[in-house]
Amino acid sequence: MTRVAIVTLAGDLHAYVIRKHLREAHDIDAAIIASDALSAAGGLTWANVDGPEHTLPTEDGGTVSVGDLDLVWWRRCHGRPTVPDAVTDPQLRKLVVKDNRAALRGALLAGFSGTWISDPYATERAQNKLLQLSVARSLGLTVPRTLVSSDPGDVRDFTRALGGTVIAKTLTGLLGTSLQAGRVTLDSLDDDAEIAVAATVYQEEVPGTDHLRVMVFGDHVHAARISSAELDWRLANDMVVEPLLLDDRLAESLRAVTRRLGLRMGVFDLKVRPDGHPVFLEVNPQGQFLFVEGMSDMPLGAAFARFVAEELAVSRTPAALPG
Amino acid sequence: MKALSPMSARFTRSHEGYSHPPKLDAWEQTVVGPESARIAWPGGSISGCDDGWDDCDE
Repeated sequence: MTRVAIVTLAGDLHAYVIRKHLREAHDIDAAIIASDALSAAGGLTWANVDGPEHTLPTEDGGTVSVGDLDLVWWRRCHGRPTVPDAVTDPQLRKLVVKDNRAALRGALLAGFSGTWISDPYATERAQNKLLQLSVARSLGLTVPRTLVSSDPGDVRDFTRALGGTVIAKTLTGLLGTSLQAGRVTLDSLDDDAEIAVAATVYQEEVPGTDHLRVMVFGDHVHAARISSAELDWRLANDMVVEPLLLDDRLAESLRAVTRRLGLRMGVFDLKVRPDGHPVFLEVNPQGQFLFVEGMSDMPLGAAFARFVAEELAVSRTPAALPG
Repeated sequence: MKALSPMSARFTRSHEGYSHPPKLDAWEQTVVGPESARIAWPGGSISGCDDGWDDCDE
């Protein structure tokens, strides 16, 4: 019986690797549900009458029973869904996507009572950078001085106060497009209309070349140092990734942020100042972590599968069962 | 009408020209094996889809 579902995008490397670890190391079968390939897949059913089984389509063409599930890894539920070419009207194509997503989410919200990694609504909420920065600071982490604004006067005043150069970055992202953080100088901030188009994150620059990628899986914390001269290492070609033993206090602070945001996992980005002090930049509720394994040989896939197995064991204990 | 480029557009960097480090490619082949051809990093880069996935195509 399949008791674990991974909701993600079709062909997601993380899902395949973790499913393999779960099967080989823990004898746990996991179903992959491709949330961007629901249209024309069939197999998605929920009802409040006797008869139809509540099921979701799996990526391999089968179905999984919602009632059998004890754990859902809610990894990705958007992206660029495929819709059959036979649906030609652009508005109807959007409706197809929205309805399939709503049915997937609804079937789980209505029929699944096990463990989420992590709760879908907590995940959405936790993605907000303003909330993240506030929570991290309230829990004692150092965060960069930050302004989020679309007001030209406020933006220029903030930049001036920080010596004339700030880091600017977007509040969200776009699938398939890397939106890199960049340096902005006061003399480039002369177009009021452009500044007013969109609220943007303006932040003091944290100097240094040591970045931290910290994976919090429940109570387990795994940290890596990413060394790169680039301001934003994500598409850097010079990065060196090494395992790092995090001090207990910082590890506990990151666990606390994860808990406060209502998450079971979080992938944190921090930067280390030249004096060695870590500065919180952001937390990704469903951040990528296997590239860290690939670059550093840290066994993170095995660690995540072990975490899933532990969560599954807890969800099966009598105390956790309803009634 | 004046053409504006929102701040976000200044920081857009294409994936063109980027390739995974050879060490990462080797790891993929070892861990994933023959299935690697149909497997992807969401967003196209190793962490390029960390955030914003909830906003895509809505």
